[in-house]
Amino acid sequence: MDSVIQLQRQLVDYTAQLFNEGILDDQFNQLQQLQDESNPDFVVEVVTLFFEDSERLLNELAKALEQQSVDYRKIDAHVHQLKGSSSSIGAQRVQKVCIAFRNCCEDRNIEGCQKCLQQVKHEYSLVKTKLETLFKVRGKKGKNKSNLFRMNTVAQATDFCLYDRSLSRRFWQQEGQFLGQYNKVKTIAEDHSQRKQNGILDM
Amino acid sequence: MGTSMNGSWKLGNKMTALVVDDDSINQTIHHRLLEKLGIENQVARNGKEAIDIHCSGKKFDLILMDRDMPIMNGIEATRKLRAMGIRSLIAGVSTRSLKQEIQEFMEAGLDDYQEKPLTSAKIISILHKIDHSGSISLTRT
Repeated sequence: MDSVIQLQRQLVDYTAQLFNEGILDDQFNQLQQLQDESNPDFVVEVVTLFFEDSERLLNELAKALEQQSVDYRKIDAHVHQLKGSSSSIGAQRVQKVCIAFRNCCEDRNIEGCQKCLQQVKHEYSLVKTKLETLFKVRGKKGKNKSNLFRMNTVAQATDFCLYDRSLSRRFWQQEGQFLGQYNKVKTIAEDHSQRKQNGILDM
Repeated sequence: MGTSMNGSWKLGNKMTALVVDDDSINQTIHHRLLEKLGIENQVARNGKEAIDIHCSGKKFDLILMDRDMPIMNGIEATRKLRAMGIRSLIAGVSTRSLKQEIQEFMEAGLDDYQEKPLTSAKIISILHKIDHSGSISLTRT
């Protein structure tokens, strides 16, 4: 039970970190508020659209910047779109780079544009990784049976998770550790379920 | 905690809205925002689709009109709808913030203008412009 609470706390801290670092802004909160029982996957759906859109736009931008004669109007149009969609989901750092990118387009500064493309790719990849981690741990579409965050009662929690003292001692700073921890708890939970099924239960 | 609309508008029907936007992310978000406020709504992908929907006889209490769209943009669509005699509340939605750009859009026939991204607070402030006689009441759930 303790380990579940710890993991829940770590999730809250992880999410808070994303806001503190400016990776996400209040618009992401707005999206979360639109999610409920009738629309349980709303955030994942919108963010998935954002990933698809962004990947397409980043490819187009790379191609456009490789051309012999650069079409700045086209590049500006793509960046404008990326700016819009990143602001719609609250991907603040991506949005900020897009603003700088548009300025470089206006100045017809090819080097500036290339630099901005690298920056925006970096920021996009960062927010994508963070969001994917968040969704993985929170669970999506109910397929993740050992989704610890859907457990509200002690009975549910003990059903899925062995009490493990070592989990409650550490505070996870790194994403890798966070995921590693989640995987560890998941393995324990699955193992526990298996033992229960086989009639061997140790608590 | 959320806010729900108990709208009685035109013969006591539920409030209706049309989202006009070419971007699938905005379509999804705006559709859901309105849905959560209890407003029945549908989506048009550009100005021309918005006109066609009206030509088929459908009417809406509120239209959220994006500015930059292919085939027919928001300014042209707004002008056309007003010319057709449509008196719905039309709110322009855009990321553009230059005064003259907003002015240009307003002059096409908008009742209100909001900067993207939309939030439920922004939609509620648009709706307060609909009817000052208080036929719309907002209750907290």
